[in-house]
Amino acid sequence: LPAQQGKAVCRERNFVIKPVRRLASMPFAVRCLVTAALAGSAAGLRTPAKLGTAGKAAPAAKFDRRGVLAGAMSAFLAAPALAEYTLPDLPYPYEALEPYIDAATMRFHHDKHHATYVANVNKALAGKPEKSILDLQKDAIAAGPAVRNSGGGHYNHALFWDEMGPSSGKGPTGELASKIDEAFGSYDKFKEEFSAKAAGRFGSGWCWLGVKSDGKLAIDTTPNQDNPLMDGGCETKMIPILGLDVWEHAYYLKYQNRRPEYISAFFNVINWDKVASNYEKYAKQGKGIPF
Amino acid sequence: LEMARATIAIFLLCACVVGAQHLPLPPLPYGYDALEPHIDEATMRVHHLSHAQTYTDKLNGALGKLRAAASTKWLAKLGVDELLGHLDEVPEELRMTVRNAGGGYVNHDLFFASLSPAGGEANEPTAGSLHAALTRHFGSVGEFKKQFTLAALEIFGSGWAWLALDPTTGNLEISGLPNQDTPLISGKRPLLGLDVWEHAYYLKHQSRRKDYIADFWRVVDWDSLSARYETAAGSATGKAEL
Repeated sequence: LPAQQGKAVCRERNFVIKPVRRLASMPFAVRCLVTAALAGSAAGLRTPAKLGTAGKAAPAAKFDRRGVLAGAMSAFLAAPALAEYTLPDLPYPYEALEPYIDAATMRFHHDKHHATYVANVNKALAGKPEKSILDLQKDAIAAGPAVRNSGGGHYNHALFWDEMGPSSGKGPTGELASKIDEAFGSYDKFKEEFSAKAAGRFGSGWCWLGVKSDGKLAIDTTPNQDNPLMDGGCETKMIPILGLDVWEHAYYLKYQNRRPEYISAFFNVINWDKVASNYEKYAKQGKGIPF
Repeated sequence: LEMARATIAIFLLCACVVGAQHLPLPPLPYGYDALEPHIDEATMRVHHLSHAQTYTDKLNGALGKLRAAASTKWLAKLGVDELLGHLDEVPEELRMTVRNAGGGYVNHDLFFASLSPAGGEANEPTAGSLHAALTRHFGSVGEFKKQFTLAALEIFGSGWAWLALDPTTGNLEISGLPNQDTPLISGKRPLLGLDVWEHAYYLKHQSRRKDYIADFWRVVDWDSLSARYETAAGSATGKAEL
């Protein structure tokens, strides 16, 4: 593009399209406020006063470029937003989980694998009304392979990054710790059962710790990108609060086929404070963790 | 290479005759670096010495258990290929292990034997029975490669793309199967398999499965594929035109 035109496109992209996308994914209440603000400012816009021959101010505001733009944005924001999910940033640098999960794996896993799921679920839902990625999970299997695989993939990985953090040496505390003891006997016994099930999932899949409808914790695995939020997704119906990706891409660069070693290492990078907070805020209330 | 192949063939023949007893991991028909630069040495090493070895060990464990009971001894005496066609007769507590480890064992054996440093476009058939069969069923060798590639790309999660012969009809079929499932389970004869488990390509290609498949075509051994086709077609039943 000629430099000037290119700059204009860039400006539009950075100051119009990106913010609109970001605003479009915000809750309805926020969108209403922004719409009202924009509508207000659009109404206040006038064409710059033209000094007529008699020095009088120009007549009342006509349609001008800024007004049209603001009006269009308002309509955009008030209407049901486009089903555009975005790749969440990692809450920590790529190397933060070393030496347990290597930086190269974090890079490929987040920037390629997760990014592809986001792109593909957006493609699969293009033009259809928006649901949060959490709400999408329940009927994901019925919605067909594209939504099941990519919608599941997006949710699962969002949870995965959120529940991990640099090694702190801390285990579960508070009510979650007692729920773990209640369900498994002890934290060590929980790790044993989780490890066995994660190692036993043949092929690609995930191992989950979740909250059942009776409030008790349970561990189960799912194939591919299915998860326990999906109807028909998991033998145990539960709200997942912790997931371990056991697809080979999650560990192959560092561990090759030594999956049990990777599973062992994983326990070092669980952010139990986050997991407990998600448990208290959502799962304990029978709600899935939103992203 | 010929010596190595002959040794392996005799070796496997003995194994089959004796029945599925204590199976060793079949040696690779070429050096670990022989498929460079297309398939990297590191992958060949881990793939053969770790993955295929693990399937071998687990299969032997399951066979030992089958042998131990009078009612299931006969299953242990079948060749693994045949055993996989009789999964519903394997006791439930052993069935998944036989399916996964038995499949893993035969699949990797077939896979490694389907590749060659002398393979690729250099020995792609332009005449002969395999050429005729691929042309008849898919339109051309190129078209077969395209469809096989698509099947390999479409598999979600772990699995294999297959070219198999249906012995009852003589038809060649392309399919994608999950995990270590093989056309043997449904009574078909696998001719060519492409492993698209991430372990088959992650060290070199990471998420770029498409590039790995392109590398596969550079080392696929059309001569051994022809031989397998002729054997399978020759023993196929039915009035199908072959």
